[in-house]
Amino acid sequence: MSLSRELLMRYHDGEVSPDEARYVEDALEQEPALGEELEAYGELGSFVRAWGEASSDAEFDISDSVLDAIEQEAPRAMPVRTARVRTLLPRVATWVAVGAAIAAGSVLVVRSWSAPRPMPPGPASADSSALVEPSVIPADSAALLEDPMTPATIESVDFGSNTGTVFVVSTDDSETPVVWMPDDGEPDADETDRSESL
Amino acid sequence: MKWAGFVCCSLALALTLPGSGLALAASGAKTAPSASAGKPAPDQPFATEVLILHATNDKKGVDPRIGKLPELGKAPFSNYDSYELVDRTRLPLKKDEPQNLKLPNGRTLQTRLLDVPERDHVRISASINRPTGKDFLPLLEVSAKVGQAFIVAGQSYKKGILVLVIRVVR
Repeated sequence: MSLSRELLMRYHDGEVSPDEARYVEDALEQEPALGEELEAYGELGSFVRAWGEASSDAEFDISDSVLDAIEQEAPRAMPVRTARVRTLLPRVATWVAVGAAIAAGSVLVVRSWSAPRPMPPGPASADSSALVEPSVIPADSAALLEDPMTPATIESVDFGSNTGTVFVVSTDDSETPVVWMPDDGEPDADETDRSESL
Repeated sequence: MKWAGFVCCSLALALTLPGSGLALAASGAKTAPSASAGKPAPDQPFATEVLILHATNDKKGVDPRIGKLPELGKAPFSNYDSYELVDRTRLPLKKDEPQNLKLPNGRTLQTRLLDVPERDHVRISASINRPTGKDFLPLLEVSAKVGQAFIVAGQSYKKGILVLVIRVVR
């Protein structure tokens, strides 16, 4: 089923007709990746809102420094498939990541500061309710969760000839960087059966 | 709106990047240690704790041996309703001594300590190689403190995928 990004964005914004909504929901059922993209739009929206609020409150303009940083980083990133971001602010890296992933059609869920996490308007994952929360939690986990920590950062990733996505999975008390690399369908020289892979 | 200009700039930059080699960066504002991490012992050598999870839709739920890992309830991990702990391994982190771990799909995860920029803070690299030696994930460099984790997921395996949770521990 073909679904345009424009329609998906309008669905996210609640600006679709009932027929279009049904069409999108059918597509979401058939292609779970679309749901992830839908959620990425929500994350992007939270970034925009949080950044806009921060800018209006503090009259703090980082656009020039950000553009300078991007200009400095871009030439190094283009010849190879690895992007170094350690010299940039984490938020800058996050913004670049958001833009890059969406432009490339990848799925991205990123959040780097405490903007409220919106719920996507589309249908939730059909199977998420089936997850079972483990009941065994070590006693010292709670104390560790309260310990403020600077971010774990994926500084660079080389996907080689494959494709992949980097994003952050946010929960109530954690945000974890994720490198998602679907198999490229190229069989390894072993006996592993990947014919029924998702 | 100044942010709008910046978004456009980011998109423009993204369009100049090679598609297949799109390299991104992401950081988590707070990464919770896992149930198994425990409090770090300052004098112990660094190591990575690698959880190999098999995600499927077999309607079996989450293996309680995995411990607390709320990320599994979030997209895209929530697309799978079952997570089984296949292996939990501790790999020492030493400079110039890469550690290899055979994955269930025959590939090999390699981790290596790159640098210790400050106390309880390491830079490590990870890669995944096919049995033929050809790279699947040629290089991943991560900066993390003790207790922090990152996840590498997506490799197909037995009607599901592998989810590798890699955490820096002592």
